[in-house]
Amino acid sequence: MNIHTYEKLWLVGAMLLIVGFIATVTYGAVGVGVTMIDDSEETIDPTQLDEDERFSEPRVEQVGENEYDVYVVARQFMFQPDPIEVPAGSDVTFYVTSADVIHSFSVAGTNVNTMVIPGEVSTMTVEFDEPGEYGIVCNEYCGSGHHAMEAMLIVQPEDEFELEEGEN
Amino acid sequence: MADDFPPMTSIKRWLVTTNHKDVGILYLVTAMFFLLFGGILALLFRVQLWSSGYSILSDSGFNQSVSMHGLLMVFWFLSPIASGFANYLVPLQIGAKDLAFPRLNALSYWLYLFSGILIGISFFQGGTFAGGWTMYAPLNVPMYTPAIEATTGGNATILALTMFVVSITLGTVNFLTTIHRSRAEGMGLWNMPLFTWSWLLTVWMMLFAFAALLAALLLLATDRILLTQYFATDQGSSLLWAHIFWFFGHPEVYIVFFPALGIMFETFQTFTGRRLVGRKWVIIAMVLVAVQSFLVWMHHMFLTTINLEIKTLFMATTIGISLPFDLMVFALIYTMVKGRVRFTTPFLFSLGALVLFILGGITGVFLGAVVLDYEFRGTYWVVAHFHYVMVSGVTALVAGLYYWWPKISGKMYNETLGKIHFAVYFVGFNLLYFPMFLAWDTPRRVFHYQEGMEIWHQMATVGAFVFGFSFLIMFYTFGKSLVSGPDAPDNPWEFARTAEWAIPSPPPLENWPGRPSYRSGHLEFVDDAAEAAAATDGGTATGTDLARADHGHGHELDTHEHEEEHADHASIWPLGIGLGVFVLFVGLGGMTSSVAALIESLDPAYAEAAGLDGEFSYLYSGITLLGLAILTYVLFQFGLEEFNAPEMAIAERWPFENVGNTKLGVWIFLASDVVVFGAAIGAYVFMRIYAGWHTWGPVPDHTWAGLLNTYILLTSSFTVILALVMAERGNKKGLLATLGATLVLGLTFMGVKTWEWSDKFAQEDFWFSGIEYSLYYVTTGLHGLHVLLGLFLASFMIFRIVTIDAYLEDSRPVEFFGLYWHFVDIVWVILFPLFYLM
Repeated sequence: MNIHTYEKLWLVGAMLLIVGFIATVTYGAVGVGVTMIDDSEETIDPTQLDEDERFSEPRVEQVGENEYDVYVVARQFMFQPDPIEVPAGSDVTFYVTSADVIHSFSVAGTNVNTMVIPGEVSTMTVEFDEPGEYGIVCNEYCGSGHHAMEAMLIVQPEDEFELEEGEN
Repeated sequence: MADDFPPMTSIKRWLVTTNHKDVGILYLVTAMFFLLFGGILALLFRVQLWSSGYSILSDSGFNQSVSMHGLLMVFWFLSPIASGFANYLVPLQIGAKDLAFPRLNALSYWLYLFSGILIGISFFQGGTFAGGWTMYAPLNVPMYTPAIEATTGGNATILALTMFVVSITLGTVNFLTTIHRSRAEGMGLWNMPLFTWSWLLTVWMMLFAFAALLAALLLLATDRILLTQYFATDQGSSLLWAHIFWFFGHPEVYIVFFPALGIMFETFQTFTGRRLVGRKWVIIAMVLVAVQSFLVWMHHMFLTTINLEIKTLFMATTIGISLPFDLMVFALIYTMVKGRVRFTTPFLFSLGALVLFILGGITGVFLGAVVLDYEFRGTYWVVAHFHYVMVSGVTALVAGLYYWWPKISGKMYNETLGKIHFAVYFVGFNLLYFPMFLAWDTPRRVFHYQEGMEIWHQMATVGAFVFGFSFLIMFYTFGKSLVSGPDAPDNPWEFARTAEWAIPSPPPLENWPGRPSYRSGHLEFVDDAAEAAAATDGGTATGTDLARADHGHGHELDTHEHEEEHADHASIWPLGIGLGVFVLFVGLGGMTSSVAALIESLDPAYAEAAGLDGEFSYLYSGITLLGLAILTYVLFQFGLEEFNAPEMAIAERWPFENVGNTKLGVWIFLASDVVVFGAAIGAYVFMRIYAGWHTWGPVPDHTWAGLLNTYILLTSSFTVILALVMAERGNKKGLLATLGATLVLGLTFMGVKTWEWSDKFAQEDFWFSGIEYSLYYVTTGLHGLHVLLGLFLASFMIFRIVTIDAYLEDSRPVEFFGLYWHFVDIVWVILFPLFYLM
C-alpha cells in the first residue's frame, strides 16, 4: 500500500505525541511518586471539629521513627497550625480538613496540593528533601479574605528538628 | 409575506420579529455587547495584576470582576454568538424558511437579553456574585456571606443564569425539531453542511447538559431565597454541587467549542477549494466527542477525596476524548495540504484558531492526568490552557463574522483592514496568554503572586490591551463596510458551496426563490405550482412524481397548496414573556430577607440559632407580584394569538418522519425535563447515601396520603386519554367532561398535598429545618409546580373549548397536553416510593 509521505510524517508525529503523553503520565505516577489521596472516604462533621480527637488541636505529631502526622484545619481565612514545622527526610502525612467552605492546601513549589472539602479529610504522605521555608496558599476561592489565606511550612534540617512543647 | 411586517429600519420590527435571520442578528449584536462587558472586566483585573499588591479594585471588586468575567464570557457571549450564527445560517444551510417554532425562537432571544439586563442590575444590588464562575458550594449560599442584604445581587446573578438556561432549553427544542424535520428534499443527515452538523451536536449536548445545570440552579436558588439546606449544610453538599455542576460543565466546553469547529470546517473547505478530507470520519468523531463529553466530568474533581479507581477511569476517558479531536485536527491540516489555500481574513482567523487550539489541546492533556493535577491544579497553567482553548473558539467565531459578514450585511469589508485586525489579534492573544504558561506557578484566584513573576504578568496585561484594541479594529472595519463598503455578490467566496451562498446577500425575508431541493444531487429551486401544471399536461414532470412517490411524499402533494400558506413573522408576546419573567426574577432575588422574617415568626429558635435577621420587603414582594401578573397576562395572550408557522410540505425528516413538529418538540422538551428531575432525584439519593440511608426515615407521616395521591394521578392520566378520544370524535361535551375531570383530579391531588404540608408545618417540620426536609419539600414541590402548570394548561384548554370550540377539528393539542400530563404522573410514581416508602 502506498502511503503519502505527508501522511507518514503525521502518523509518526502522532505516535510520538501519544508515546510522550503516556511517558509523562507514567513518570508522574512512578517517578515522582506521590501517594494519591486516600480512598477510605472518611467523613467528619465540620461543625464539630472542636470535639474531634485529631482536629481539636491542629498539630504536628511524631508517630514513629522518621514518621510524622500533621493535622491541619483550614478555615476562613487561615490554616492551623501556622507555621507547620517538620523535619527534612522524613515521611510526613498531612490530614487536612475544612471547618467551613472549600479551601485548598497547596505548598508552593512542591506537588503537595489538594482540595480541602468540608466533611472530608484529605490525606497525603510526602517526604521533603530540601530544608527551607515553603509558602502555603489556598487556591480555591473561599470568600472576601481569600487572598490573605496563607501559612508557612518550615522544613528543618533533620538534626536541628525537635517538636516544641505541647505539640507532641 | 405579512403585509403589516415593519421594515428593518423600524424599531418596531426588532421588537416583534420572529424571523430567524432577524433573531440571528439580534443575538450576534447582543453577544458582541457582552463580549465588551466581559472584556472590560478582564482589563480591570489585568491592570490590578500589573504588580503583586497593586490595587485599583477593592478585594471584593476583584473577586466580582473575575467571577462575572467568567460567567459573562461563557454564558452571555460564547453560547449566544454561536446561537446567532445558528439562527441565521442553519435554516439557510438546510433549505428551510424558518425555524420550526419562530415565536419560541424570539422568546429564547428575549429571555437571553433580559437575563443579561438582570446581570447588569445585580452589580447595583450590593455587589454581584463573587464566588467564582463555578459557584462552588457551600460558599454560594447566604450562610457564608456576611449579611443577608448583600445576597440580593448574588441572587439576581443566579436567577439571571436560570433565565438564560431556560432560554437555551427552548432554543435546543427548536433547533432539534428544525434540523430533524425541515431539511430540504434530498438532504440526508450525512449531506448536511458541517456547521449545521456541529450545531446539531451542540444542541443535543445542550439539551442534557443545561438541564442538569438548571436543576443545580433551581436547588441553589431555593437555598438562597427560601433558605433550604441543600448546600448550606456539611452533609456532602460540596461534592453534590461539584458533581452536578461539572456534569454540565465539561460538556459545556464542547458546547461552546463545537460551533467554532463547524466554522473552521466551513472556512477551510471554502478557502482551500476542497471538500474536507475524511468528512465522514470527522462527523463520526464529533458524534463520539458529544457522547463521551458526558463521561469525563470528574477530572475537575481529581483533587477531591473521591475514589482513586474512579479517578483513574475518568483519566482514561479524559485522555481518550482527545483522540477524536486529533482526527479532526489532522483532517483540517490535510485539507490544507491537498487544497489551494487562499489567505483571506476569515481563513487567517480559522487557521489561527487551529494553531491556538492545538496548543490549548496539548497543554490540556497534562491536566487530564491525575498525578500532574497535583502540580497544576489552581495555577495559571489551567488559566492559560482553557483560555487557549476557549479563545481559540472565539478566534474561529471571529472568522465566522468575517466569512458571513457579506451575506448578512450585503456589503464587502476591506480585506487589508481585516488582515491588520488578524495580525493585531494574534499578537495580542499570544502576548496575553502565553506568558501565563511561563508564569504557571502563580496561584489562581488571588491577586498576589511571587515577585519573579512580575514580568510575565506585565506582558500579559499589555497583551490584554492589544487584544482588546484589536476588536476596535474589527468594529471599525465592519462599520466602514456598512457605511461605504461595496455591495456583496451572492457568493463572494467562489468555492463556498452551502445553500446560503446561492441566494442574494442579504437574503429576502422568505429566503428562497422556490422550494430548495437536492433531489437531483445538487441544489435546485423547484417551482411546485409550475411542475404540477406541467404534470396535468402530461408533460415532463411524470418522472418527478414517481420519484416523489418513492420518497413517500405522495400523500403530501394534496396539501401542497398549504406551502403557499401565509406565514407570520411578527409577535409582540415573546418580548412580553421575557419582560414578565424578568420582573418576576428581579422581585424574587430580593425575597430572602422576607423569607427570613417569615422563618423568624415560624420558628424563632431556629432563626436565632441560624442568625437570621430579616425584614419583610414590600418593595420586592410587590415586584414579584407585578411580575406574576404580567406573566399571567402575556402567557394568556401568547396562547390566544393566531400565529401561523407552516410545516414544510416536502422535507427530509429522518428519523422522525411520522412525528409532527410540535409533538417532536414536546418529546424533546420532556427529555430535558427528565434530566432536571433526574438531577433533583439524584441529589436526594446522593445526600441520603452520604448520610447513611437509614439515618432518616420517610419524612411524610401518612403513607396512605401518598398512595391516595398516586391513585388520583393515575386516574387523571386515564381521563386525559379519554379526552383525546373525545376530541378525535369531535364530541364537545365529552371533551369538556373528561378535561374537567382531569382538572378536578389534579386539584384534589394539590389539595391532599396542601393538607400534608400544613400537617407537617403544624409539627414544626419546615423546609429549612434540615436537609431531609429540604429534599422532601423541594423535590415534591418541583413536581407540584409541574402539576400546577398542567392545571393552568387544562384550564386554558377548557376556556378555549367553551369559547371557540377548539380541538374538535384538530385534536393534536389535547395529545400534546396528555404527553406532558403522563410525564408528570410517571415522575410521581417514582417520587412516591422514594419519599414515602423507603
